[in-house]
Amino acid sequence: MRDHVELPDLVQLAVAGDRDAFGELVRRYERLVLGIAWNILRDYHAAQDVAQEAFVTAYRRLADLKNRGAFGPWVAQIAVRCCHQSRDRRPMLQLSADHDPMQLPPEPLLLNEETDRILTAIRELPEHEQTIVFLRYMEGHAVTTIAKLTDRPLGTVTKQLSRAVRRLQNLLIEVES
Amino acid sequence: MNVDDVLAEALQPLSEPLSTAESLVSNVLARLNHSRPAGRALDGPPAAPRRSQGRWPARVAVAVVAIAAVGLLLLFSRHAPSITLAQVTAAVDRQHWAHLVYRDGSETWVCLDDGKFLMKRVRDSQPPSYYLRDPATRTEQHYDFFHEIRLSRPEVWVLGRNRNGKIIPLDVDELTFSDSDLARPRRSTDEDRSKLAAVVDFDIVTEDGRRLGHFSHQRRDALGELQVSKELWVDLATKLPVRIRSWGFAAGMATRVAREGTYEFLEKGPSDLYDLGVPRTIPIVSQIETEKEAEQAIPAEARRAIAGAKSAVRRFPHRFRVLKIEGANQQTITYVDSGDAHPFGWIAGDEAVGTVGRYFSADCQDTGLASQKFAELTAEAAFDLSVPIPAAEISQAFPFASSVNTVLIDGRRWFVLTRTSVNPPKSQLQVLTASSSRDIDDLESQWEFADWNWTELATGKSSEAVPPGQMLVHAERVDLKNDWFVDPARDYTVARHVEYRLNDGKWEKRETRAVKWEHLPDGPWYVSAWETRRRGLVTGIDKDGKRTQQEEEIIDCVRLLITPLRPEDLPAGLFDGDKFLDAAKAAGAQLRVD
Repeated sequence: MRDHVELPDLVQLAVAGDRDAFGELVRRYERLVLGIAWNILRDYHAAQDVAQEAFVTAYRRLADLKNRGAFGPWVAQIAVRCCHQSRDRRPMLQLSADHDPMQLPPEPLLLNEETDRILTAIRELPEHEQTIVFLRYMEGHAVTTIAKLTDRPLGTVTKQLSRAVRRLQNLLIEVES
Repeated sequence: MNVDDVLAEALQPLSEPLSTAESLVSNVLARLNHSRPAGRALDGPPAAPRRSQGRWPARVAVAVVAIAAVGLLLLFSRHAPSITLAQVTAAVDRQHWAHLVYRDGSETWVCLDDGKFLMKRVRDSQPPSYYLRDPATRTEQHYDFFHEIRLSRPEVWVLGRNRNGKIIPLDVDELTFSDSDLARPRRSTDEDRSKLAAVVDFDIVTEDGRRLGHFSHQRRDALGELQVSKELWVDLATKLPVRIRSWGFAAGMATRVAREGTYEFLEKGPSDLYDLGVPRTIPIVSQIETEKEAEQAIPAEARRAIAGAKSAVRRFPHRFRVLKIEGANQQTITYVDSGDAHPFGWIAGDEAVGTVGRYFSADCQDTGLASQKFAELTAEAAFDLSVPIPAAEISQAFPFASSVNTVLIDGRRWFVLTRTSVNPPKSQLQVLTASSSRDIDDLESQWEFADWNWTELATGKSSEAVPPGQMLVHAERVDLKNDWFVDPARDYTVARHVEYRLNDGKWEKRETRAVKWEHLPDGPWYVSAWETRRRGLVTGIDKDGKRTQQEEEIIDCVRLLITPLRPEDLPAGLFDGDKFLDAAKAAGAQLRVD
């Protein structure tokens, strides 16, 4: 089990070719990636495909990830791009007969309405703000830690986070109204 | 429930793993079999099938290698440390307070029971600063400017927990370990060292009869060379950290220096910043509760001015040249190419924030080192506002070779070349990994209030009268007061700025007044000339030829000309970092690579 290994070390091991380490990265972030894919595509089978695609893309590009503690937000952004690419390709897909695009994901994956709504709003943020929001609220890092992970000054992160939260508030209010 | 809690409650469940049945892990790993390993060079083309030269020799060779590997493994395992991350975590968990003391006098205290965190930071030749974070009251205290301890309640607050669920501040990286390295004593391979962004070597040392695990963390510097960044020693008997050594640069120094600290684990720790050394006469002053409340408390007129400034800044071009003339002997030329992003992300509040962009600036601090033509061009423009600045001619004749300060950002790296002597040549080049764009102070100061601390914008009132047609934005804290008189007719630029700064118990006034504006085509107005008045010591010679110093009012005049540029207008090779580096090396610059 690698669940006690620090994230940057897991990434480093994976970069070095340790597939078990990458498997642990998938385990830690698959719910996030699947959640994002579901949030965008509203098709569970497509979301699963895209989530796998996102992780494979992440594996190929892992050496490019500068801030290894920020793997989660990074793979989330890859997932968003994969979703958009997939959506562009979807008219070309041949759906199998038993494929029901309207089906809901299995219970363990079902996002509650609030999470779904917030994921939609987060996608409206600039990428650097998405990163900070995921690091802060999903992974629970302190602002000082986020500053280290993203290699930005503490004041910068604080400002970016405040702006992101304000923007999210506005976006959520807009959705509500 | 506030937005902080809503977001955390909605997003934290996304970090939970899925059950085995729903997990993607096996599918993803199966697909990786068709992918090249991350971080390694692309595999070469598959080798063409070769006729076997006889299989037995190959099998024997494989067997010999396998036996040798097992032998090596057995040999190695005899020396493997009996230490795992779980053991270290458990050992730390049995403690109550961790205390890390650095040789420079800095210290960190962490209560391992409730996450209380106190820090005293000593910096070169500066008074120490102090910080406290108290999870019980969700408050922070800062003391670094000697009038008060500032108590605040940050909107953003999270408690870290270690693997056993025990509260621990997550930013105490001195108390985090890498178990993969603990479990595998090794020196990283040459391949890892040539390819990975960071490596960790591990060995065992004996000090004062104790066996210590020694971790050497190395990361790549801005030029891609591996450098030791941190070393950590853990006692193999107690499983507790013993010592840490971090490597970095002292201010102005070109060689790395070590900062070394030792750990101790104690039953009790300090209860407040006074226990850490802050004089007990210093009061604790509570700030406005949260940033959000501070924003709401900003006066309506200031809010309108901030909104107007942000709107103006968003219309700024993304590529431009700035010529700055300060009197006859100080000129600066700056080129900015922020690409698709915005050059003033902070003020504009858009997605440009965090974008590196490309940037070049050079100064001229002595026109005696420039051509006669350059000296004439700048002198004429410096003293007569009615003379247009001949931007093209000045740019052509700019004496780059004698610049004292040259800064280049090539999109990935910052290069800071400081030339302290032209004859004989003497210079230092600092290279840093670029993670953000460079502030363009002279432009951003024209809308400075728009990015000011909200708490200070919501505090105090100005005693000054507001001229007709202008708006007033006031900010103050215990040692600094600002009045910005904003001109809404000229894109909310600052027409006059008065700053009062408390220095040695005395308020010092500095006043800047705009005297000329220009309007950028398809862009906003900007202040193209201003004067600053302040009190300062002026050196003179008396009638006996002796050197004298007396306080007088000093007036500085500055002119600025911004020229929007198309991509093709940028000088060829201007942002070429490699070329810049080679030229600096060839000129004998002392290198400092962060």
